[in-house]
Amino acid sequence: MSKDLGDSEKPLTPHTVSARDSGRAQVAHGNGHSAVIRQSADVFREPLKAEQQASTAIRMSKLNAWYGDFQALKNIELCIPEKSVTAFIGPSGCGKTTLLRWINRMNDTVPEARAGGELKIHDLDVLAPRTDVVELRRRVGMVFQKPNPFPKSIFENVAFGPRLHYRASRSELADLVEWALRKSALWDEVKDRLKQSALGLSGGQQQRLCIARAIAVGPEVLLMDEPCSALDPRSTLAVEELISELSNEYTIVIVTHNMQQAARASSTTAYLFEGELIETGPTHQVFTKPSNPETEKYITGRLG
Amino acid sequence: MKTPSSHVFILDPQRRAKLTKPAHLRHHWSVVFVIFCSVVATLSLVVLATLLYDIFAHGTGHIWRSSEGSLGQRFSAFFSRWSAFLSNPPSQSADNAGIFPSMLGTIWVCAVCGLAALPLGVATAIYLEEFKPKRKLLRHFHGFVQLNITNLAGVPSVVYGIIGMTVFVMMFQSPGDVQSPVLEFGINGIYDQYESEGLRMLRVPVESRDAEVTALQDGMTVYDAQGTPKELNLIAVGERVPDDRELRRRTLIAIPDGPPRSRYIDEAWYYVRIPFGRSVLAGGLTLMLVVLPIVIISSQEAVRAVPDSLREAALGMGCTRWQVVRKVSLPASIPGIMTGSILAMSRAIGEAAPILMIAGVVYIKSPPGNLMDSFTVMPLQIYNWASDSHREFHDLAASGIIVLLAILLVFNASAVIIRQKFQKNLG
Repeated sequence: MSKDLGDSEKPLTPHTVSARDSGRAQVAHGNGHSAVIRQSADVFREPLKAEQQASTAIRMSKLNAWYGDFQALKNIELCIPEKSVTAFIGPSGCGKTTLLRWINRMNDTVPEARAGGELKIHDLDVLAPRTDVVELRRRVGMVFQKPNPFPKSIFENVAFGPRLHYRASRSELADLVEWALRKSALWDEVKDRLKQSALGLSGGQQQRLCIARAIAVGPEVLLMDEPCSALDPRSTLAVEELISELSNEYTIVIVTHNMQQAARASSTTAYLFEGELIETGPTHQVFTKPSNPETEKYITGRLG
Repeated sequence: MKTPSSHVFILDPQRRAKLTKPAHLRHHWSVVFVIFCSVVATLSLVVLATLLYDIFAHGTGHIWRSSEGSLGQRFSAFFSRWSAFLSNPPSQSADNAGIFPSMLGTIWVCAVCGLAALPLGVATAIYLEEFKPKRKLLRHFHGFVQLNITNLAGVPSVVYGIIGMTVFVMMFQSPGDVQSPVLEFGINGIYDQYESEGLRMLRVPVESRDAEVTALQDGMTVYDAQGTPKELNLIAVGERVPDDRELRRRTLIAIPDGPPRSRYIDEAWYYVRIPFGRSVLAGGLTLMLVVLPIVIISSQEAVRAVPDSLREAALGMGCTRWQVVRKVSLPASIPGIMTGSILAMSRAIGEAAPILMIAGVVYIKSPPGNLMDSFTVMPLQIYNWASDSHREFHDLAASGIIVLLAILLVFNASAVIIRQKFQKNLG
């Protein structure tokens, strides 16, 4: 991530909402790269209600989820803070990926999957049948376990999302692609071969391309499902650095099997076990003095 | 820890040595099987080579033998006979007979078949693969369609001929037939056709298919075969036929009951009617039925081969299901779909049985001019020649097979090229 970009990035998150700001969200316009993104950001950021904590981006309460008869999530009560990294940890099959995939309703594609309870991103009721999943997924970007760039050029990969949602001109699109690639620390590596296939990139580069692709539509939340599990240690480091950079502007939820990663990259950690939320809190607290013995067992490697 | 000679034989050296299979025997069997496979593969190749040799010997030998003179002359005779074979209509004499109308007929019918089967097949495949319903009733419907398509792939093509006969040719015994269609579109004009004293066609326009004959009058406007208006020269019976050639060509003798005539329908290139009758359209659509299951199944395979991770990526970006198909699945599966479809088309080219039912055994001397024209296809023409009692026609059949094989080869080669060119690594 080149340092000289610091200024130009600010306009991307024009809404600076403080915790005490009970009125409408303040929108600061700047000479940003992309007008389209700024505009869309204005649309979704509703005025916050007084009783709502501005620092909470995603609120779940009594969230239950099933696959057929199997209950995958049980009464999840969780608040995910805004503009920080929240990690879901837990042994395989504990429901953390299920939980993640309900945040942008990716589980809609699973035939037998259903969910009940409350899951809200700011004021948007995610689980309501009326909710437009297309708009939801524009607001909630997702990065998958295995890098999955489209078999298109690097440019086309990043421009894919914006083309779906915005009527941007060619030059606006080019600016946006450059911005997203710079933001995902990939620009210097690929600027000379934007027209080449994205499949020619290394695994780590592909994953950063997927992140660039996700942020190019201007989401407020980024979901990452074990984003580094298919990467080598160096690429993992690059992606982790990127995650911490992005956490200044995006609400990031990350599922990980890697304890070190959760400890390094996240500021909040939620430990799930067999569909239940066992413990949640600031990462340093969960890792150093967990309140629940179950959590301690898992973290120290005696479970899962 | 137990002692080494425990219940597991692998830890007991003595028992282990006793139970070890002799290695050389396994290797023998491996060699035997490799030889067996090679022999079988060679056998099928020998059969193919024999077939090709026989066809080429028959198909080209008779032309080569019939040519005379120096080597150069024989070559030029050889090629001129081949080009005549490709451009002539079938004929009573084996020396003049050609395959042109049936070749064009094959191209027409296959074009109709491809244009109909490709969109239908690909759309069905996409429905079956990409739009799997969630609700129970719809899921049953989905499964029902899938089951039927799998079964249809195994139905003999004659059966499709019967379906095509009922559905497309006769349209469920609908009122009207080819002579008096229920509905038609694209008729330029209806004429009574006479043969003049100068052996030219003269056409007198009439109102409709079943209108009365227009009474002939001296000096009335008639049309020749090219559609240019002419002034009719009507002479009485016994009157002297004029000597002038131009005048004689537009001269008719006024026989009391009217000179022999026929109704001629001038059809535009876009002429369509219902029912279709034994037409190119009916034939092509019947062939579509034959290849549709193949197109669907191969397209399904191609769509299924697109990794789900790409679909998830697109969905996660906020694509609708249709956008996922349009922007991700379809582009990625086009090579597979094209390959499967072209292979299906090469089957359609070779089909004789359903076309035999639709087109019937007819003598066709010109290629189809519109979708409602009668037609024949190469396999039928080859069959007719091969079943002729004269030996020369058997050689013609072999020549026809060479042409058919050449077209098939072009099709298959294009399938391979498309696959090589568009095949992308999907990551």
